[in-house]
Amino acid sequence: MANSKLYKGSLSTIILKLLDEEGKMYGYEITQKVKQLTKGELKITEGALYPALHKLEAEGLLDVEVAKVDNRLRKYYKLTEQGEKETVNRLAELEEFIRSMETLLNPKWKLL
Amino acid sequence: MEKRLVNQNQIETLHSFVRSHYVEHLDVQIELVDHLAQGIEAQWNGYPERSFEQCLEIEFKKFGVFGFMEVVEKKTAAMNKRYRRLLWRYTNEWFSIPNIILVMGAIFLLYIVLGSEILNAIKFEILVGLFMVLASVALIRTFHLKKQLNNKPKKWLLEELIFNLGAYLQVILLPIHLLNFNNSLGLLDTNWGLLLWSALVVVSVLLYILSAYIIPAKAEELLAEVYPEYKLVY
Repeated sequence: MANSKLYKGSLSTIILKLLDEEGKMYGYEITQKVKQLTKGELKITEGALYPALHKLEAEGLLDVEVAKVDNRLRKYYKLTEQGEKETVNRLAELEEFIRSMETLLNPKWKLL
Repeated sequence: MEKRLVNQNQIETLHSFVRSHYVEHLDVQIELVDHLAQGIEAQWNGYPERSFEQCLEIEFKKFGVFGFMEVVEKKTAAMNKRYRRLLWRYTNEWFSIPNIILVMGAIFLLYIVLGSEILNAIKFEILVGLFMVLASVALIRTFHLKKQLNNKPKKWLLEELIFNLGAYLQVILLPIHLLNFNNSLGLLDTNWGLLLWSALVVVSVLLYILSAYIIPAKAEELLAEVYPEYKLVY
């Protein structure tokens, strides 16, 4: 199941949800958090994570903060006000999608 | 046991490594270097016997067969979007009432001139000429700005877009093709067609002034606004 293509379309929603819960996070932290939460079932690849973050940033959903950590600069992402609203919308969409999939996969048969 | 960290020399090596893999802009480099450094440190946590080079190789492989290419490509697309938003912001700021009157006046004047008896027969050639002159001027300006950019030791993606006039040269070629098409349809012989093309010339000049002079003059300010790391680096 690991790295299933099924997750691909939901990557930005996963990122938004994590940032909503954690406040601010950096790229590496996001990959590790997802791995930890899904017990290694889902691995966000580096090649997919950063493009998704940069796209969300360009859309105005994420804001960036930079801090010097150890001997290098670290870029933190956090939700903007618009990002917070969009998270609610996207989560609602995703939940609706999950419900529809459940109905499709486990239809409740009725006797007429 | 104390956590083993990537040292300053190794950070420099990581910068050279990402640069050698076609990541030339500092804003993209900073993020990738931190990511690689963290991955290496995490490996040292579990496998302290691994060398820096071995760990780096493992981390780089996680980016897939295309390496950093996709990250750079998508970052450029995202930054282009950001540039267009900046251009839009400055266009809106520029449109004060006196400037609107100035633009309307210029459109109307060009419309009258092109529609006059003397020039009406060669209006197509004049319009093509005007766009060609604008494209040539933009090309010279781009060369001039590029020279300035090449002298800088650190490059930022947005800075490169600004100094490249945000692909103005590619955009300005579009009306020349459209003009040819419009002429063959006879649209230039209608009043509305001529008015529309007069407006397109004026808008193109305005966009040129914005992208070639106004935005580059504010480059430092914009970089500091878009990149929180800009002030930390300088």
